[in-house]
Amino acid sequence: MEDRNQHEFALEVEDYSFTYASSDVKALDSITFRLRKGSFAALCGVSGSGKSTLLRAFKPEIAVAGKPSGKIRVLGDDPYELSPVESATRIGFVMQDPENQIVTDTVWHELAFGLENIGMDVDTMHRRVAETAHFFGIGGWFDRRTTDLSGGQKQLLNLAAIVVMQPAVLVLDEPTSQLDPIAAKDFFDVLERVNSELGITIIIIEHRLEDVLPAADRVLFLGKGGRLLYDGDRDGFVRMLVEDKSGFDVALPAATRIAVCFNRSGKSLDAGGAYPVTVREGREFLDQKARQEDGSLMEPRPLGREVPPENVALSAKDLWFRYTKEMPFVLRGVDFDVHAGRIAALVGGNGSGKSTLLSALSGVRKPERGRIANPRKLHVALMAQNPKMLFVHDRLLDDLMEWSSVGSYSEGDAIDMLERFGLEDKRNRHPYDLSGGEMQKAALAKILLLDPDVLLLDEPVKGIDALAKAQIGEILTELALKEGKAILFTAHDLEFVSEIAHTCSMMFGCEVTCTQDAHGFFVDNLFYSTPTARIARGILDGCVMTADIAASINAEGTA
Amino acid sequence: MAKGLFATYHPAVCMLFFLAAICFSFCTQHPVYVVMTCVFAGAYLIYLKGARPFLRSVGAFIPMVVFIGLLNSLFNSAGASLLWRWGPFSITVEGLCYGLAVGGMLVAVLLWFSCYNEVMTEDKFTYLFGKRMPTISLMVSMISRWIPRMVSRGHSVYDSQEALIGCYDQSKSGKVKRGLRMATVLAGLGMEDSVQTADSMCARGYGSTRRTAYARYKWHVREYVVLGLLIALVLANAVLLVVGTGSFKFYPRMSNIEFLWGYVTYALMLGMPFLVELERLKR
Repeated sequence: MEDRNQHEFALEVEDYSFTYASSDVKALDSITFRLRKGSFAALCGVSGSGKSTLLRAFKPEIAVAGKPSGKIRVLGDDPYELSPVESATRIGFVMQDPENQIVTDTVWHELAFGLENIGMDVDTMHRRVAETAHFFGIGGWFDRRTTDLSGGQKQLLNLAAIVVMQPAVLVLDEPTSQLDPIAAKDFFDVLERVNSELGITIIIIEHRLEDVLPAADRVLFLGKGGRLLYDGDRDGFVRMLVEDKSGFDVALPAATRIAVCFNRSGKSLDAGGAYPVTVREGREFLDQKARQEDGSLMEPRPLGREVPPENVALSAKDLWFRYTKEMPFVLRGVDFDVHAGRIAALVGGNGSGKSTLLSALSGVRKPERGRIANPRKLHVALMAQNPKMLFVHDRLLDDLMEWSSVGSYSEGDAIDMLERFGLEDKRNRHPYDLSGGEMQKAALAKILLLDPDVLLLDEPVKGIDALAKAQIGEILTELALKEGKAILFTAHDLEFVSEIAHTCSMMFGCEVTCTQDAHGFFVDNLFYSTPTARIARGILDGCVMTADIAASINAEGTA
Repeated sequence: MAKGLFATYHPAVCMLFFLAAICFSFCTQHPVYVVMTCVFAGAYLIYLKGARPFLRSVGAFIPMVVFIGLLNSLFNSAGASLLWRWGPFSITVEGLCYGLAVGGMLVAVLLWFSCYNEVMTEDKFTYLFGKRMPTISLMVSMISRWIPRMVSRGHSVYDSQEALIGCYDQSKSGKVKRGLRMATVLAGLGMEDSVQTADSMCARGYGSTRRTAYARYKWHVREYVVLGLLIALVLANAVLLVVGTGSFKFYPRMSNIEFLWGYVTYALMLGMPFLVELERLKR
């Protein structure tokens, strides 16, 4: 085999275009870039810009069907000319869903799986598996069954099961979109170690710019039509987004958005100063501004949000619940009210009982003790965490019509609903072919056609991009304020919660520990709060959203 | 992890032991042999899992033994010592004893299987047969991952559809319809998942060359010693059984129970899980 070391670049892409088998429009349009060995590149782009298609082109085994043109080289070789074993070991690929990538039933077998496939001898295999388990800190759960792992552990295992094959290039397609923020942070920490301690080249698609930007030394940005709009360092990328106003800037980290507020209000950045990216940099920036600015120009003026009056729709008293008599309780003495006309958020770690509380409130799961009162006999709808579970038909519109007789609505209603969610042009698509954000919206649309009074949504914004998130936020607000629906949703994304929720409750250890108005909740929490609140604490107290900061610096300025 | 040193031995050794124990238990109804195998199987199960699970399983087996014993003696009146007669049915001492021996034999086999389950975990089984049948062992591994996933997913699909449309139709037919719908959803999700799993397998070089199998077990001197001992004991017992020391006549009159060297070899073989513990004494 050729010596891998003689090439300067891990990846070279030259004038690469791609057309899907089923279409004539180019999905990727003459893309050219080179990635030096050992770099950490973030590949960003709007939904449907062909990011995954580009990454899969590096790996013939899983490449998308279609007509490619141009040149791709991995360490100087055409991936299509590598032997199967060489191809498997040279490029590692980690995908989005932690669950589906795991093949075998035990952790040790999963780690060994790739090495078994390439026919490695047993002694070397033992050594590699041991080394890798050690590097990833998997030793403690080496003997566990893969079904018993948490989502974060599963994704770490997927990463380890690739790294064990010692790839030169690691390609990751939204690896943390299904993880809660803590697990996502852990994953990124490990990924940075893989890059810095093992020198493996990394290229990653990621929505969470908050996590990926601090780690990346290179950013590639794909625009609509699969054109490479930006290729360069992080700060240049941020500047490009701020200036081009394509709307993608909502995905920027909180610290950056705060700096952008100052920029847009006319108080521009110091010449040559890089945009802050992390919370620490954001605090430094804000602190410096606070000392520079005339005190009156910068005063905390959080927008706050009026909490609609109490109007109990569902009321749970002293709920105790467990799945079977042998298992521990998942809910312990929970008292909880859901109010009509309000958006309530339920936050807390994985396994704290959020999903179970939603199931119990929906009335599907009977509690062992306590009861749920629904005095007005309101219609309660529950949306499961995985929106795919709602679809059974091959066409989106047919799927929306599934319950038309029980819910008594017409096809016209269904089309109106699709329009409301901006999905009218997707009506003939297979629901599974929708993007994450579109699927989430479609699921919500299908539920709304049943016209429920109470909406219980389990992680409605999990793993979707900033634009789709904003759209769902708007629709939920409208449903609560204009149509008087009671909405309760769970989320890990505290920024999203701070932007739309009226009240926020925290679950911990199978109990609801506190319920407060959302603004107060984030001001009073020290750690479990939005990045903006953590940046602004002590400098612009009471600001929890970027909009609060904007209001705090603009009000006087414009007056 | 099962208790005891024997469970740490190479799966091939454990497998041979259980095969031998179960086969021999099936092959002889000699009362002494049956009692021995019951005692050793019971003792090993208690050692592995504690007294309570043992009592629970024995509690379930005893009615079976009694039932078989009674049934046999009811329909088989070949014995010479009559105990009781009622119409066409007659109960003889020999018939009752034979029934008890058969029942005891079944109990012993069941107890050995319980021990087997504790010691021969799935990964040991796949390890043993994985090299011979790489595809099958991978399939077993994949299926045993797939089933619990499907079950838990079934629960969430059920919850969400009951919460959405359950209130409209609580009739039997409605429930059947929703059950079918759930199966459709699960099938769709399953196919979608399997595409991704297949990608993940291909991306990790599945099918690129002849597979090897990760070995978690090695052969040490002690394994060879115990394996040698086991083979010798199995052969000795087999020979002794064939030449007839293990045969026992129930009808028309029961043979006398006398001391046989076969008891010793049989006890040594069945006692292997305890014999290997002697290694601790060296320390």
